[in-house]
Amino acid sequence: MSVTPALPVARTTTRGAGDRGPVRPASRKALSRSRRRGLLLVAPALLLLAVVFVAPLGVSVWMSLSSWPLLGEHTFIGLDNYTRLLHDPQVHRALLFTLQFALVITPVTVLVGLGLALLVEKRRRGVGLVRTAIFAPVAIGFASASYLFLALTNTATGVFGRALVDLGITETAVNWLLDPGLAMLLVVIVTVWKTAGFAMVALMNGLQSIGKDIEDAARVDGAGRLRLLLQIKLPMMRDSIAFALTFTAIGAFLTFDQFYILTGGAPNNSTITSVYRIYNTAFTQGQLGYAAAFSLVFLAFVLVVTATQLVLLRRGADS
Amino acid sequence: MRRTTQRRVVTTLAAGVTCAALVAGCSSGPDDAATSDGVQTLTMWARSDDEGFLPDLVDEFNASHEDIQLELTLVPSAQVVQKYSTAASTGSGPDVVAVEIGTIPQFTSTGWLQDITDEVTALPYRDALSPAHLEQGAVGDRNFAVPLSADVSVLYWNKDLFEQAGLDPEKAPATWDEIRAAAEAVSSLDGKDGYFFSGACAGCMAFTMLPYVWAGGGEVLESDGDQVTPLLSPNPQLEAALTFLRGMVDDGLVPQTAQTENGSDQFGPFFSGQVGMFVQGTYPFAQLKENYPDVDFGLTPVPSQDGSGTASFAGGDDLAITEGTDREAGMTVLKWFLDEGQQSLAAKGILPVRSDLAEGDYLQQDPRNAVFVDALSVGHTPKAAKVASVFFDNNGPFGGLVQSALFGSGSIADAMSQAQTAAEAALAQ
Repeated sequence: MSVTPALPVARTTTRGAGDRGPVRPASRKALSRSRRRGLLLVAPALLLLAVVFVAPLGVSVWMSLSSWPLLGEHTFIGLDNYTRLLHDPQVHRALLFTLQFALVITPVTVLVGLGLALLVEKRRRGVGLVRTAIFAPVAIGFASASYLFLALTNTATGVFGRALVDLGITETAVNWLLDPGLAMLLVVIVTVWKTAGFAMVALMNGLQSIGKDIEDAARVDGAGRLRLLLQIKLPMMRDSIAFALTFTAIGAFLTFDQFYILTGGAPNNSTITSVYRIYNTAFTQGQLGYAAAFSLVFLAFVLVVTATQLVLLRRGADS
Repeated sequence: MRRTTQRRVVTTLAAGVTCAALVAGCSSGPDDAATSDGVQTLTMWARSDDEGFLPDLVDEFNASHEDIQLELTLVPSAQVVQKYSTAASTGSGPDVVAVEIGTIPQFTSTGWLQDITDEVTALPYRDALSPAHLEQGAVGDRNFAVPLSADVSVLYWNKDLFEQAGLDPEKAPATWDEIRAAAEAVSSLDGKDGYFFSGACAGCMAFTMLPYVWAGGGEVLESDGDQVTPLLSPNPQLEAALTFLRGMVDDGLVPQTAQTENGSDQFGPFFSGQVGMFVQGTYPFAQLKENYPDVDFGLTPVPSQDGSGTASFAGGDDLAITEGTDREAGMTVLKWFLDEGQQSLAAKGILPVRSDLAEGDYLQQDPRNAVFVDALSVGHTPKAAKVASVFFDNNGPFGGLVQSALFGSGSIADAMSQAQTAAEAALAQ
């Protein structure tokens, strides 16, 4: 997940900007020259965006309207893929499971992130190290993290299983894939471990932007620590919370690696998310057209959910 | 003036870096056979399961040929279908390719492989080649591939555990009742289980369970020209096989790990002497003799319910030349693997794909090799272009059938009809 901060708008002048305030360009030629230079500098990024995002999106739309096998000829079939999606129980289950997973993981991640942010916001000795340690998992890929935990939680050879038995918490090494709840728990643990750091950083930003004078004023009025947090700090951090929630939710919807590697859909294909189903349809079943249709529908689904989330959060801010 | 120069520098740098990035991002062209100094190098892909024998064979080929050299790349078995398909569709695949015979029908009718019918028919030992392998690599009467390696599923039993359980260690279980009784006896031993299978690995289950169905005369696919229909429900032999295994699971004769074993640890329980019986191929046979000499084991063909028939899943690889490759060089490679290659395998005690070479050296190595030869003669392979997505995909219809029927709470008949619907949908595409 990348964050692009708003860049300050550059001023173009042909003369040095003195303290006379903003200087208008001396001529129209200078203006168009500076505009051209700006476009030139932005052009590579636009080209990259067009090649990497817009073009494939267009191809996806075309593929979704065709029967496009992985090997062989493709034919245009109009909206047949979409009508098939409507009646496909596997698609419905994947969408439902993705929603369920997102509903579980988003609040958990943000809450854990909030807890961590409260822990590390104060400048204490060694806090930099703790922050780095918490954020470090965010930097490794989801696939690497999943393989790491796959090895750690292996029933026969994993450290976690052995540790739980030795501590007396379980009798035999936990077999995570025997029960859908356990399988989900495993993925939740790995995902929270990996993404809470990002939520922590986002919320820490919001926490630190609250001036100390507000805190002091609240203390003087007799507000306890919890009340200070719930009724003063959190409302003031609304933007940070909205940001953390939205990004975590989007990431949750797009979850694939953890389920593919850790559970493989087990038990009994009950832990298959939308992206997993799309991948399976495209590359294992070899039906690229149908998978493209599903991915476009899913894109719309995620956009709707994200927009709803933003509206709800913003409305709360205005009240 | 400093600012303008600064801007010019920045602009040029930015443009330069982007151009370099775009050029570097361009992928290299399709893999072509490279020729240098008169030595032709052909690229060859195979699945990682072939690690046990193929690299050595390729080395032997390269040592005995000056004008052609083979460059072998092993692709992780779980990603083979996907990687081959994407490479084939973009023209960036290998010159020579070894494909698992269950999945090769997916490629034979796409024009990716060269039609080598004439060369195959002219082979002096053509009739000794494994019929299942040739059939899988053929479309109608046109051949697109030749056999490379054979794997067949047979029933393994641990003689020590049998003896400890009070059974005759030399007597192979010949009916389902006998397998069941042996499993019960072994399970009664402390910390041992009677029977093992990899319940979360669809391909493994196809390999190890479908022989029970075929031995009883059942089929799981019906081919009518281009039309392929799944026969998962109703199917009395399949239902009987599922009921048989389900019974053992419900009565605790199968370790719990069987439910979640997805293929990454198929042999561990038998190698470590924890289970009495399992169905497997030729790979654990070599491993047991080499690395686990303490395990005393026997082999027998997989029987039908009453023992009147036997069957096996004929697996292994076919070897093919991809379109666009130098045909003569490719055929040299193929013929070497069929001749010297198979002789080398037989001498090493690995099941050859030619019955004329199976006698002699191969049978001398170990009397149990005869079981593999017999099993290959009753070998079946489900043939369909989409067989991988129906039978070998853990998230596909057959994988779901195994999980629901053997470990689920519903009825086996329901699981079968659900799988039938899903398989029909998958094959219809």
